[in-house]
Amino acid sequence: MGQNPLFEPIHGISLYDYSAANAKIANGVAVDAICSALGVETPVWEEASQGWVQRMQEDSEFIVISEMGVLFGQASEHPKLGHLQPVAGAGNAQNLDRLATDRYFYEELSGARTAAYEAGLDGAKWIQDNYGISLGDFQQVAMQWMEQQRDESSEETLEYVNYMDAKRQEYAKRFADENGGNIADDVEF
Amino acid sequence: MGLFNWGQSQEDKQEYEALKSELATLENRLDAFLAKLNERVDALLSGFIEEAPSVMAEDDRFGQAYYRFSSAMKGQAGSMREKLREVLEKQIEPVYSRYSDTLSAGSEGYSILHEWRHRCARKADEWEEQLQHRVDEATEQVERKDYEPVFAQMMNDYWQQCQLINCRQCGANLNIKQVYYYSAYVACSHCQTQNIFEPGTIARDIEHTARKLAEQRSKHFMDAHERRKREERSLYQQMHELQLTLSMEERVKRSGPKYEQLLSLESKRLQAESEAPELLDRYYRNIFDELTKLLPDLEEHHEKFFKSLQANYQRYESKRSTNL
Amino acid sequence: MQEENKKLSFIERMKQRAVSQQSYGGQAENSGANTENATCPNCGAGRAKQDGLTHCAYCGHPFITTTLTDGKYIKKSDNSNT
Repeated sequence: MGQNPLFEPIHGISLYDYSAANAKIANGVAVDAICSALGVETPVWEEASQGWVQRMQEDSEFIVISEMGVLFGQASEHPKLGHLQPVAGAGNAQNLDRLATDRYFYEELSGARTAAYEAGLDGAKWIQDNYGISLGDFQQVAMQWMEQQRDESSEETLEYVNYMDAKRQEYAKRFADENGGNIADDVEF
Repeated sequence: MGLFNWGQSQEDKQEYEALKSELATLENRLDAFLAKLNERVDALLSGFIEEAPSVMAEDDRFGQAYYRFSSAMKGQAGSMREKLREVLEKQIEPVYSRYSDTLSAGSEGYSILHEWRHRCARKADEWEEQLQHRVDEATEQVERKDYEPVFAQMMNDYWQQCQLINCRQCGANLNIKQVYYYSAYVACSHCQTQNIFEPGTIARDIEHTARKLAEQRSKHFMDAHERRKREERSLYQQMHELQLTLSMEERVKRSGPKYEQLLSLESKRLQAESEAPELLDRYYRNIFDELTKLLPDLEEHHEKFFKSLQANYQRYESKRSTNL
Repeated sequence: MQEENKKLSFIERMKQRAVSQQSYGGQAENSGANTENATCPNCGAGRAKQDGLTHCAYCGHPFITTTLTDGKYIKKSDNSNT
């Protein structure tokens, strides 16, 4: 990818810098902290960010955006940004570790998150409040599982999809019950 | 077991009547169930349309509360859809399976059963399609707004705010004459000091709003594109139906009044088929032309963005081969 | 709360849930246009246009450690000479 002008750093900010920074920001790390770690001021960071967004829009092959997805998942290994933690703390390390190692736990929370949105709740906030896992960490782990999924058999993938859907339904019922039920619960065949 | 071969015996007739009545009862229950669900859809959507404006009025600039509210509405539509699927799975399909094993293929009972299953599935599909359509319509109705005054107001507010921005060092007016979409270094023309200018949330939302406005100004092309696509589908359908009525002779000779009619439908269809993508192209082209009129400094980016989008929608264009 | 909720219609409960909860990352706030001081954090000197953006012309303090390229508002020529 070295020769592709779409990957040229903008004001010295590479796609890896940009992707890892976004993972950190989604985790609650302040933009100021990102800027200091990258050695730039806010206007430079914002112009580079805007530039990366534009490159993704101008790239009809989606290579920049797919590469960003991969790099997003490697935020914790980034030499300048990897160590950054949000002021509010790193969250629940135990749950995060489980999310990254226990596929069923990950599928359960994915299902719960979808169910939360469908119930009119902020799914990201729900995961944060109940499991101490930030949006950025969650997305990062999701990227890792997605990478892994490429090597899975279709039976395995289906098993996880079904598990997630069963959990989604379970949580959907719970969220509905908490708010007095669904609109058509009493409609019988 | 001689069962359900629908011979002329009294027993067979009774079984046949019993089957018909069981299927009719279930189908009536399905109709009643769908009607009851429809009442809830009415309540859901009218409530959504009624309450959405007040949710939006109190919302933050990202519209987060409205997003939750509309997600909840769609979630309810989804839960009704799942309820219907469950009825098909638990009430309709088991009856079908129970009889389909015992009825001999080609018997009258067999075809009644098949048609019944097909009808039930179609009713469910049509209900779902209708639901989706109504949800989309309600969402569109609620979210519809005229972006002309919104955009004009934003620009006006931005310029007014800019008039009050002075140099941190010497106090002279920074004389800001362009839209800054994000923070930037702005040098004072009097003392040359670099100021870090924060343009504020309005400026940060300008590009997004301009996009909405440009889409609004281009919508007639999209409508025309969709109309053409529908026409093409309908002409194709008409041709298909007509083809089924062709006699063997007409088919072989490729002539006759019906064949002429077919050719005339085909030429209209071809026209619609070639115009639809042209209109889509004009839609996107127009969006970016409008965007450049609104935000001329982004012209170069707009052109590249357009080319990238165009490459993508053209990738999915396909034409039918009708082989007449 | 749950008892009270039961008296509300379904739509009212749906609305209440949507508007009453906190968003992830909090409410998006509005802010107007303004300027920030761009003086050197090390020596307090002002930063003049001709000195470039990356280093302080007086004490050499680096404001920006990367190399600026040609962007929308910031250009290559904004790299300080020092």
